[in-house]
Amino acid sequence: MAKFILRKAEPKDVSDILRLIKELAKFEEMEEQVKLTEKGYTVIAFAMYYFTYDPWIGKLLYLEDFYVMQQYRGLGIGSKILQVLSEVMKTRCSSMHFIVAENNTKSIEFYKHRGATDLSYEEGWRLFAINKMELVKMSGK
Amino acid sequence: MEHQVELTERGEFIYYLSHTDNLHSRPVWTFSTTWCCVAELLEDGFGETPCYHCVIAEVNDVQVVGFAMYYLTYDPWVGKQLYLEEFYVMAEYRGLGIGSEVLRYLSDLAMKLRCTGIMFVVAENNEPSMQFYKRRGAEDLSEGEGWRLFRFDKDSLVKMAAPSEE
Repeated sequence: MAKFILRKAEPKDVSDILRLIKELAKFEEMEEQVKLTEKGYTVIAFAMYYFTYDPWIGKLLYLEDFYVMQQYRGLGIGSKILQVLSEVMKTRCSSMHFIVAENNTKSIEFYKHRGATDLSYEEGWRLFAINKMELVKMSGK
Repeated sequence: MEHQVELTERGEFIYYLSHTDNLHSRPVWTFSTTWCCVAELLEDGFGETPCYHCVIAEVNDVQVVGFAMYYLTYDPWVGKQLYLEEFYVMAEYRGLGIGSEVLRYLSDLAMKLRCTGIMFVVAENNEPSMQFYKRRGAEDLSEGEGWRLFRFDKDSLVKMAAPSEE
């Protein structure tokens, strides 16, 4: 089992985070949509999360990005990250939400294996977005 | 009789001055639901670190008839987003432009806060809402890009939090 530690990100990690964000985007084949810019490493995985709110149940943990570099997969790192996040949840969060691309069968399996529910399938939720251009149109009225 | 529709900002503690210059505020807990109790909503929205913000639509200075609940999220590809969690106008007050005005208000706010977009989920069988949003330029990312919303409930999280035998 490879030796690794998990720790909270610090300001000095920002360039590594961006590198991994881009790698993840490449994996999801949406690299050209990454608009935030920049660029020897010991950081090989990350999870980006924040707290959201569902007025029906309260505070939630939202998992925004979750990535382990290819050559470091299968070593239990992903599981360990999820374990740490589950611990974080003890601060009054009832649930963790995240989105997965429907063609990302490996990830879907990873999450379902650990008890995740596909809410889009079970409850019919669709994710919508209004982009900046449309917002400018609306706010200008 | 003409309805006066006014928007009041809650989460940022900005109080709306009515036409007669009376300072007043409508507590958000008129929208308390059976799922989250008033005390939780109060602490979560108006405590030290608010988990959400609300904008209220008020009629005739006395009645709250619509609201939107939102908070800021982050998309590492493009930055800050305004996430629209709840958006509701009472049935008898629809078709008056309240919904449009709320969205316009949120768009303006999103611009001020340097958000690159507004995100939200819609139930796939809620055709009127989907049309309402699509008419204003919203994109269905589940259809267009295949995104599916997933959840780990408390039981799964408790299981994951337990140390694994290795």
